[in-house]
Amino acid sequence: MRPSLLSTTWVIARKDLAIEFRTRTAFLAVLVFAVLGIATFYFAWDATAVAAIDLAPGVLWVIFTFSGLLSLQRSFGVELADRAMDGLLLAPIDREAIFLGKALANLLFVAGILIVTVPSVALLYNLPLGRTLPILFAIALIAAVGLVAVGTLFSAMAANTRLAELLLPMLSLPFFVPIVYGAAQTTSMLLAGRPVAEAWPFMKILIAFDLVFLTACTLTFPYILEE
Amino acid sequence: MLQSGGPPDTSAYYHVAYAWAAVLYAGYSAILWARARRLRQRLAARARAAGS
Amino acid sequence: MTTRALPDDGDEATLVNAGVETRPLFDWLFGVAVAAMVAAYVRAVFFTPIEALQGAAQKIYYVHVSAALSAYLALGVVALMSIVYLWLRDERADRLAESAGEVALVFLTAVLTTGPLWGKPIWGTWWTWDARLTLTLFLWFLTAGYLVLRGAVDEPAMRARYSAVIGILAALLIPFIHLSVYLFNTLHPKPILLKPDRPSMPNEMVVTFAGFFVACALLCIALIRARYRYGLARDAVRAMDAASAEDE
Repeated sequence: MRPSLLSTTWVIARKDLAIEFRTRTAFLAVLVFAVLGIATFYFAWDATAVAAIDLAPGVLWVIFTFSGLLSLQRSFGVELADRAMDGLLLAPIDREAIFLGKALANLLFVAGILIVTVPSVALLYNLPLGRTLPILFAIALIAAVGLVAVGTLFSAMAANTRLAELLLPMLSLPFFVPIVYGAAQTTSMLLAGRPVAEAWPFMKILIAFDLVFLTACTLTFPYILEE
Repeated sequence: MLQSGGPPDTSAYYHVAYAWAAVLYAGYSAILWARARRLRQRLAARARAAGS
Repeated sequence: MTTRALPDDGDEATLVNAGVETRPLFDWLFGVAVAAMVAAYVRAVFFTPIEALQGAAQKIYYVHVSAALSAYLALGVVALMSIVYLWLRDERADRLAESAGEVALVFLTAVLTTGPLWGKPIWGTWWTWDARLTLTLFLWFLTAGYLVLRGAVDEPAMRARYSAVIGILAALLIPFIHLSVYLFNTLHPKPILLKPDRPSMPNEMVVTFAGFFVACALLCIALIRARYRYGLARDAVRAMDAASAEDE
């Protein structure tokens, strides 16, 4: 009897994360990139012209996007070596489970990055921590689901092409825009203390995007893997 | 085209836009034609080589 | 089915013998389309009055919107053929999607370049994040990505599958972009722009626009067809290459 979708998903996610954290190199590299990026934005910022609380959401979401991309780049590289993918394909598991497993691993990876990045932004841009951190984390996690859904699919595709490093950002960024837009608008509204009802349309875009693309990418993933 | 002191003279933009669109469409057609020609030349060369 | 090679090295026999169908890329349909475009241009330039508020630049509208509608037509073909390919696995669907994608990029480029040329005199700014222009910008990126992806995958079946998946996902993305832009425009204060309301167009202008749109759409279809035939010949040559490589 085929193992359930959920258990397969979890097994694959654990496998990926285990491989990843054996060396921890990629995680640290992305982390350093993210924090460096946040710092670089600081130097590009004219503090007299733009208030910190206005700039911070933008910084957070741009860094989120690009460190997300970096995290995704490595996700299919894992299987490229030794054609390990063939082993996965031979196993009696749903192909959708492979996708969900890898997406979950990516989500946890990105969440790990966010745990460091979000407080860094709050600290460096002097945001009131107690009030803002929970909001930022929540929105970031919801946004990460969409990012990871699309990104996992595209990195699977890109890994099989000649221009992998170029193709992944090129294909993904248009898809990330609704995520970034929804997240950034929600963040800046909530940070400015506006009522939740005002920010709700933007949250709706985020959540709708997550649902639509998680489904669509799971369903189309088997077409990517076919031999 | 006579304009009596009424609307602003924006004809420069309009000339450029129309000319540029024509260039785009004609240019793409030409590129397509050139690609087809190269293909045919390759084919002919191969056929000649096979024949000889 | 007649095979007529465009006279070039004059050696029709070799081409026919090579077994490659070489229907001319630019045939009667293209001729009609070009004639229609010329007629549309002439009418727009010489026989359509200049609009009172916007001056001559308003005429850019005919070119700009026709190109946009034709681009949407081509992209609709891409999306539809993507679904058809994943469903039927017919390489013709993939080839048609590829052709339509390339032609769409041309028309999208036309939209994105004529738009600012219209925007500058009318709105006072080269670019504005209004719904249509922003969506077109995204479509341009997505189409370019589609074509780059196709260029990066060598194996035909894989290329077709990947392109089809991207085509479908891109189609799914459009409503989200549209919604984002709509929210952006309605919930954010706009800078004060000199943006005349679209006046109800006098009949002559409507006719000019309709003519332009028809001519543009004809050109779009003719170009897709030409590109499709080129793709057909190119694929046949590739197949021959592969076959002869195996023989060796």
